[in-house]
Amino acid sequence: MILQLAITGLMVGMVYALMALGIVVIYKCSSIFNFSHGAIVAFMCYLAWAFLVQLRLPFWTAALFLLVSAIVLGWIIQVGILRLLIGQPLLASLMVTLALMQVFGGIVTLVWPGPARFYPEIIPTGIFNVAGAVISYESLITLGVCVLAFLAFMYFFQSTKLGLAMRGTAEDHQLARSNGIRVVQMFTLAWIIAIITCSLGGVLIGNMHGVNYEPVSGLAMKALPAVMIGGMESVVGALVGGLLIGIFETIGAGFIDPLVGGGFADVFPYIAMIALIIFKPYGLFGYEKIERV
Amino acid sequence: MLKLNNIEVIYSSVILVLRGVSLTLNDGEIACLLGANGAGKSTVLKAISGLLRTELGEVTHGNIEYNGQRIDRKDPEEIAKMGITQVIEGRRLYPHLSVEENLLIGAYLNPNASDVKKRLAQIYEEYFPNLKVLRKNVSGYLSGGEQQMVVIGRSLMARPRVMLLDEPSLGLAPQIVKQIFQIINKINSDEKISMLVVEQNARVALSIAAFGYVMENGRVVLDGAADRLRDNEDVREFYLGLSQVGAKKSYREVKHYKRRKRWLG
Ligand SMILES: Nc1ncnc2c1ncn2[C@@H]1O[C@H](COP(=O)(O)OP(=O)(O)OP(=O)(O)O)[C@@H](O)[C@H]1O
Ligand SMILES: [Mg+2]
Repeated sequence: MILQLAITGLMVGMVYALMALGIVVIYKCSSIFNFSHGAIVAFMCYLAWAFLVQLRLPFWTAALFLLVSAIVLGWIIQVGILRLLIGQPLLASLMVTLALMQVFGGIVTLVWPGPARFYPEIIPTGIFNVAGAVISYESLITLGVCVLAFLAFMYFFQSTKLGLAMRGTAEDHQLARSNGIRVVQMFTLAWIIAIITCSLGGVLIGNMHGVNYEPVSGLAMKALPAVMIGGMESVVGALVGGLLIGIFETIGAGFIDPLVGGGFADVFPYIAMIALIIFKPYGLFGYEKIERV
Repeated sequence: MLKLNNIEVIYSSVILVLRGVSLTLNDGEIACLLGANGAGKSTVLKAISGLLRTELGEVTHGNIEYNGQRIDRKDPEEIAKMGITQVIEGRRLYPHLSVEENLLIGAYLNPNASDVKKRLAQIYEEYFPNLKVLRKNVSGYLSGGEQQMVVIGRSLMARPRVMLLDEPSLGLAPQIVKQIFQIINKINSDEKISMLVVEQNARVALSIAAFGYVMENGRVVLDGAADRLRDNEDVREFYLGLSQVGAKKSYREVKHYKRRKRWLG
């Protein structure tokens, strides 16, 4: 029971962590909180379904198509819309992401109306027993994909020149420009990375819960408490925050729901978030302003 | 050679700050730019480096030439690429990045990774040995002197031909100021980088510069060889704090004003 809950908690937590990363990467670079995150996750989830089922593309071709779509979409949002708002109050950009949420929601209901759809078997199903715990290949593979993706992004930010430039941009736009970094290009890159995480999350969540707007976008927005717990500016925070939420939720579902008759798992993450914000308003790993001089 | 020809600078379309500034920086030379708070010294540097544009400033008259090419319409990124770097006033670091990351980001425009590595090693060895010890530290928590070394080192990482230094002595203890200026002098003589140094501390600036300019109210009111300026009565009185009676004046404590910052666009 414990082992099984732990694996589920980890798996769910890693999905949240990946979603949180997508929010953090945009926020760090451009101070924009992307309200359309959940809607884009759902949109990418449907798009993957369209490639796999409607266009009958083989898995890897569909994956490639999805990647290209993510890049194009990130580019359009930044270069086509947000770039025009640079120099305007930040609220204008926030409003745009809020509007984008409605737009993507609208596109999904317009193009793919009706009940939930399902992916073909893209991840092998089946279960096995370990020490009395029932574990599915699906959750194990989902966990693995998230871990790998997270490691890849961490490597990118910590160990590549472009990653360093993005972190520099996150700290000081004027300084970055004086070092020759084209800040607006870094914003575009941030959006592209975020939408790639959205695509991965969309497919993984869609595979578990069906291709369905409400639950998919809702689950993706669990990234919000994860981000608040971890800290808006921290990639490590996104990881820890995501895992904590996943584990809280699973504990809530496994131990507390049976006692109170269900429903607690969904509110537990938010209670945890409020509790943490009271004690650490910047989150566990958020930037506390460094002030010397 | 860097030449400013009678430039006028206006911020936000209305605030006239430079009213015709001309200035020449010869290759390999150190020149200093002196003047009271608000005279427009930093604005001169920002006009050259292009950072003016990130603060809604504009060169509205005159022009700036670098090696015969006009640069006053260029982006800061392009100007950085041409080998002109500015060490911004107030030790501007990427505070959450480590010392080494701060240095590496200075070499962003250099595509040759092994050359960047070589340069880093050279900077640790020849100029800032103590930064090597601190290289993993978060830069925001360093002492003021160490931070000044990081920002100068970061500029050097770009292998610049022209360095614009804005008040490197600001808020540092006299001993550290001396050390920083020794290093600046060494950089100039080792690498023949041209330097334009803005300073409130006229004494130390004139000690390393070959040429000096004095600004007041957006204009250059006095210029000349550094040793001549050192002997000039007005400079002695106002900038070296040596009036006839020998009383000291200080501009250091004057508080910095806040500026409106608009980085992009
Ligand atoms: N971004 C800006 N927008 C509007 N006005 C500005 C801006 N930056 C500077 N100024 C104004 O231009 C004038 C000159 O400023 P500048 O920073 O160039 O002076 P400075 O000689 O470097 O002074 P200090 O010694 O205090 O650094 C000041 O009156 C200042 O208020
Ligand atoms: Mg200044």
